[in-house]
Amino acid sequence: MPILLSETAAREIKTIITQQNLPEAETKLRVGVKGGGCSGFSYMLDLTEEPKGEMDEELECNGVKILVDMKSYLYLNGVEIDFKDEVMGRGFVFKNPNATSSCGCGSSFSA
Amino acid sequence: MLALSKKTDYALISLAHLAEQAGRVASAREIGEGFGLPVAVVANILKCLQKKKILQSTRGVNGGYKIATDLAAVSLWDLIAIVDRTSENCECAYDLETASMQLGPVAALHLKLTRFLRDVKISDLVLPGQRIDVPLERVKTVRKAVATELAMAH
Repeated sequence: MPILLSETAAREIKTIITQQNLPEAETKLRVGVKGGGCSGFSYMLDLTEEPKGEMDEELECNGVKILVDMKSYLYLNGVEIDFKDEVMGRGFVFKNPNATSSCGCGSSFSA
Repeated sequence: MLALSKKTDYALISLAHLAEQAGRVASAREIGEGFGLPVAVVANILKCLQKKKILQSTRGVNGGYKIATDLAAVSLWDLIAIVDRTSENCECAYDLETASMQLGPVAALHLKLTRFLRDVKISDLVLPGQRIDVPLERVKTVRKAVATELAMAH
């Protein structure tokens, strides 16, 4: 299963790319997990102009190029990324079928 | 700095853990030891939440708590009121419904904060797939390292 980016999330990513004057054709969304938080991993999203590395998987969803390193891909395969704009803030929501538990601070999970 | 109390923090951590359990019960000890929180304080908080029917408890060796209500119907304001028991003290200063712009600045701020806390639902904070995992401010932009270095060198 690939990484899915909802239309709302893709629209938001494209808005950020435009706002920051990033080259549309080269800019990719790097999705990853990193160690930290009380449940082990936390999600990260970066916009990068760097080309696909040897250890990267490149995908595309709703017009956004996505880069994910192989290690993160193990934990993110099948994840659905959505965007929320609500009273409590604006940001990306991860629906991860691989996460077995996550922590109260909301920024990490274990798989 | 405005901050949530430790009790509210622990309550949110507990609810997030219970939300992950999909119907399985979890004890105060499991939550306290799992997240490095004082078990006695967690036990008290869970008892408060159970009294308000947010949690349901099961007695016995394999007993514990599970979520008994729709967390979308519980606001952060409700939770703070339950675990800190402060809402009545705050609200007695004025009536929210009739409050107007003639309020002093601190009271006006309090009014805004109160409304905000009432608008934030617990489900949006603790439910996986519903809470915000990466706030917009945390999305980093990594520009081409080489290009930047060259530009700086000139």
